[in-house]
Amino acid sequence: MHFDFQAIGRALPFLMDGLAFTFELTAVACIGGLILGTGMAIIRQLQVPVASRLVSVYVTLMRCIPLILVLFWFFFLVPLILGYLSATGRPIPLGPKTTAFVTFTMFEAAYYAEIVRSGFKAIHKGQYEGAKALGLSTTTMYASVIIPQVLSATAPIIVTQTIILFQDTALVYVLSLNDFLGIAARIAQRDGKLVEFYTFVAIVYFILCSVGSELAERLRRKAPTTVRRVKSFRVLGLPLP
Amino acid sequence: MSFLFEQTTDGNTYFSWLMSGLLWTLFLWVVSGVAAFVIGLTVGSFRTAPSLILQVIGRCYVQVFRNIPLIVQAFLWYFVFPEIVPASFGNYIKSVPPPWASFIPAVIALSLYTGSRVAEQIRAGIKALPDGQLKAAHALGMSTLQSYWLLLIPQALRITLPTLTSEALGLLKNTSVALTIGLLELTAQAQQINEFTFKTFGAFGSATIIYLVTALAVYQVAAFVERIVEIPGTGKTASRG
Amino acid sequence: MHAEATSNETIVTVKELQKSYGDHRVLNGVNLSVKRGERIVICGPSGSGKSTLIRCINGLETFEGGTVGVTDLKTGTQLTKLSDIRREVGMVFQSFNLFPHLTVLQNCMLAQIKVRKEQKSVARDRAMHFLQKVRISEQANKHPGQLSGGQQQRAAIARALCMNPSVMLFDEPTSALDPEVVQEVLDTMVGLAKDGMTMLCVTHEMGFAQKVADRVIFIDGGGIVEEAPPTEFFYSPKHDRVRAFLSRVHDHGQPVAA
Repeated sequence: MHFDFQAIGRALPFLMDGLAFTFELTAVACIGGLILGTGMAIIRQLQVPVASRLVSVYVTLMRCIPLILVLFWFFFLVPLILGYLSATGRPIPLGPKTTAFVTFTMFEAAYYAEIVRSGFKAIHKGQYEGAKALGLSTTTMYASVIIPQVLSATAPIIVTQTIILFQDTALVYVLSLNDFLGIAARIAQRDGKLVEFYTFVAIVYFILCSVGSELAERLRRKAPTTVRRVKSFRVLGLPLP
Repeated sequence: MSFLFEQTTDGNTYFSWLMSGLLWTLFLWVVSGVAAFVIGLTVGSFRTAPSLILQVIGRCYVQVFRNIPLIVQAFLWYFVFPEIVPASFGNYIKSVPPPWASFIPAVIALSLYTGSRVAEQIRAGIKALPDGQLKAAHALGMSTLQSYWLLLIPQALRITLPTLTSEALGLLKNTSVALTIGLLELTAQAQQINEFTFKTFGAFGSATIIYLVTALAVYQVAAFVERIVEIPGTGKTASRG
Repeated sequence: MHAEATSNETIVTVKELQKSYGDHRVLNGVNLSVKRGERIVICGPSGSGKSTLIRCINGLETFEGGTVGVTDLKTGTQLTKLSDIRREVGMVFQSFNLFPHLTVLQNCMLAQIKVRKEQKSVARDRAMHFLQKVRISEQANKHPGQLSGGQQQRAAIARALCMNPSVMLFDEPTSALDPEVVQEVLDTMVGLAKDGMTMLCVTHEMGFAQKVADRVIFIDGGGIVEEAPPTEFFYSPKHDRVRAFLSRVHDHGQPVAA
């Protein structure tokens, strides 16, 4: 069987564009999801009425249904919601790319929220008391005392989740987007070189994820643990995948 | 949601489409789950076995199948595998009629991917056992194989049951990847229904509800089994010294 | 060591304090009044409500009945808002509750900057001053995890002092410490008392009570059973329950009093 390396060589610039989009999507979803997820976890921790329940339902929903279905939902819903919120009242078509950014951010936020929530459990009750006794406001307490410890304790799991996110971005294939897999698939189908391109995609993902996991492992071992690390966690409600 | 009971072009109801999708999802889930479990037990044991070769095999297996996105693995088995095997076998594969032509690669991909994750959990479970277990078993005259089968694995399983159930839920969601290689499982059917009826809320909503109900049912069963199987003195009901 | 309270200012007033955990009544109408410079030791059997009492003072526990009041020494106003009260009341915990991700110095500076709105340099100077006072200034840039238990507790004391509280609460400050380091913390607390700090101390350390306290309070079953100066408390207690308690509690191995 003949492996057409040149086909890949010719397509390399486009493939790299796709890979750049994949990285972009991962980065946006990671940062946005982490911020949103931390906020959600705090809302649940503070037991804010109504909002807390909503977050709970949202997180359960996101963790119960497949990401592909979530992608279909958001692709359909986001323009509707935006239209509802906007002046015209008509659906604003966002385009698949923006939808993907929004979807992944919202989806990952649910997972990060659960991770952060488990981190809260790892924090000794005395930390809250020590902060309160000093007169720290709730905002300061969370910002300066609790959240830094939570993030430090859950950092390894957050990194692992981010690597999973990186792999999950490949699912934008179902929206016909031009991420790494999407572009590779498009070119492969056009040129009839499925074997070459899919193998290439697999190898590149393998290298990137292996390196990522290895870096994560090194980081976990090297970083001084001033805070007790969360090794595994089973949060009340659904167990995390 | 009454539209579900309307007639479709092929003489069935949309509801029957959904049910067909559900059946394929469940079938895929169970078959892959069992296979993943067996693979995971084996590879997880390999990684903790006294033999270096087995450890290396285990490590390589996990590295490969964890670090390639599931959808890419599905593509490899569906598109690439038939091309790289000897022509006669390849032709045989290509002659397999759908839906089995999609089902079998999906099972293989899901089993191998999930198997690698289960392997890591089994490995963690075995590692969590007190050090002397294997030595004690040897002292009693058991072979390594017997020790693993009769002693280490049963204990590891009882410890890791929570993470294994979360893995099962993850697998249920991952079955949706099969739609990318042509299997009309639940999410695919929902998409089909949407395209035919344009009743997006109903179509996706039905699938969402079905996934939710299934996931919550699994969780309930899992929680029940865990309570029964928990090793006394460990786990949630143990007293903290 | 029993210098009289230097003025008649009442710093802490507790009136008819009632606190329950569900059906269990923990505090049943407790009355307490602490003047400036007084050192009060609170003791009693486990579960008697002594920790709950002082935790009600700075609002770490809520209560159903009665009132708690703390006076701001500088302005003389009676404080009722929780955040104001907590600014004036320093607390030292059994489990130290230092912030592990910050250095000792940062621990001492954080509340000054965020609550008292001090400048960073002012906060640092005050922090170093109190760290020197508790004699761990050389550990200022270490993290709590790198210190011994005794050092951590002294750092916690310094952290509370940095807020210039009107009164210091101690909740069994030495109960979680190894015996070798208990004394260094007690010595620090004695030093504080010498400087005239108003202190409420829940402790089992009867030697400390004898040395430092103006009044010893015995709490049992949700109420104050006996309240007396140390000599009277240890050598001629009025109540049988107190006598029984004292015979069980040893001062570093020596049984205390009658």
